[in-house]
Amino acid sequence: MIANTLTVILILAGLVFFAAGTAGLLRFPDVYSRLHALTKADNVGLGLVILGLMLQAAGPADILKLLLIWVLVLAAGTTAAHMVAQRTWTHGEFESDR
Amino acid sequence: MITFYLMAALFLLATILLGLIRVLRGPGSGDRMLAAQLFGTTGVTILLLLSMTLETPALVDVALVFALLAVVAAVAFVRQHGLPEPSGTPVHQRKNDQKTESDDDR
Amino acid sequence: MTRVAKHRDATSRGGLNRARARWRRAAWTVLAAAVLWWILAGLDSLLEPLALLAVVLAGAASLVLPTGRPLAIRPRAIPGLTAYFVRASFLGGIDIARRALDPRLPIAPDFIEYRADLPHGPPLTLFMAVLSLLPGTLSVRLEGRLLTVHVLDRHSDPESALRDLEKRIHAAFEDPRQESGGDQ
Repeated sequence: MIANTLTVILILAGLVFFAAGTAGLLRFPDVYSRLHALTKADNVGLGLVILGLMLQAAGPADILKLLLIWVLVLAAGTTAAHMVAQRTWTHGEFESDR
Repeated sequence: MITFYLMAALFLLATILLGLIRVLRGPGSGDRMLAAQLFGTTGVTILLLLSMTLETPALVDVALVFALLAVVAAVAFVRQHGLPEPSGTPVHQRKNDQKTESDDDR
Repeated sequence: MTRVAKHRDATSRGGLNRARARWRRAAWTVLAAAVLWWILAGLDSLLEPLALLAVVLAGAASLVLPTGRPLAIRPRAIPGLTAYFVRASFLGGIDIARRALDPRLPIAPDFIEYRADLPHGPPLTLFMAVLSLLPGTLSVRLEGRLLTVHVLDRHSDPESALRDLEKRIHAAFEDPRQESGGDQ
């Protein structure tokens, strides 16, 4: 029962971060700022949802699997953010679609 | 509890849809590349929530594969045109490092 | 070149030591492969012959394949570093959420240049990756050791946060430029 309540709270908190990430994506003025919003807010959102789901997990293997997913997404997020930022820096914000 | 997971997943779907406005409007190509990340993170979360709703543990494995492929998707986006590397390619950089590092040695 | 040669001399200290390091690495590989299999497929499937064969082959591969440069991270530093990353990325998320949801949109984006003093390789890569998770900074470009960093709020003193992170990563890695065996 307590676990269920905690799960609901954690997932709701995570959803707030996802909403904030999308708000930043729509509102921020340039690509770099939008990257900030998407990387950081979404990763924290996912972290909170995963924490919430860990409380419902059946065993240690499931918990570790969720943790593995979070670590992978975290690594992917930072790498992708850096690569998009670098590409925008070197090629300019408006490249022609060839 | 199952309804809660479903509502949460639907909420995330709505945030993806809103995010797609940015992807569609651009204006820069970098904005469009953000799609890869948007789908990566939010998509994984939706799958995790759906695995609870549908009581299908296999969806967690799908989420894991998504997480693995997110990096590949980002690389594919960034390298899509096959443009020549800008100045500061890895090879060039490596030459630079060794020079600076051997300076540090002394 | 001189640096690599010096490093190798320091790590090998005779063939026996190198062989022991190789076996230790194989043991770690077997352990990691077994844990990964357990996480992904469950305990029952780990005990099947095919899984055991795969795990053993992974260990054998690490014996046969040439060793790369050793990852000079101090094992004792890992928990502290992890705790710091989790806390920093959480703060980063809160910071960005606050800014994005604030109707006044309190951001002042700018680029700064930052000269990192970390050795190239894992330390610098880690630095650039974690940088993007810290509140208000995003790594854009690396030229030599000169980083271009995008900051969300130029009034928030990002430099000191970067210095702090650099110091922590520096402390967690054994610096090959220092005298050999500085850890002992």
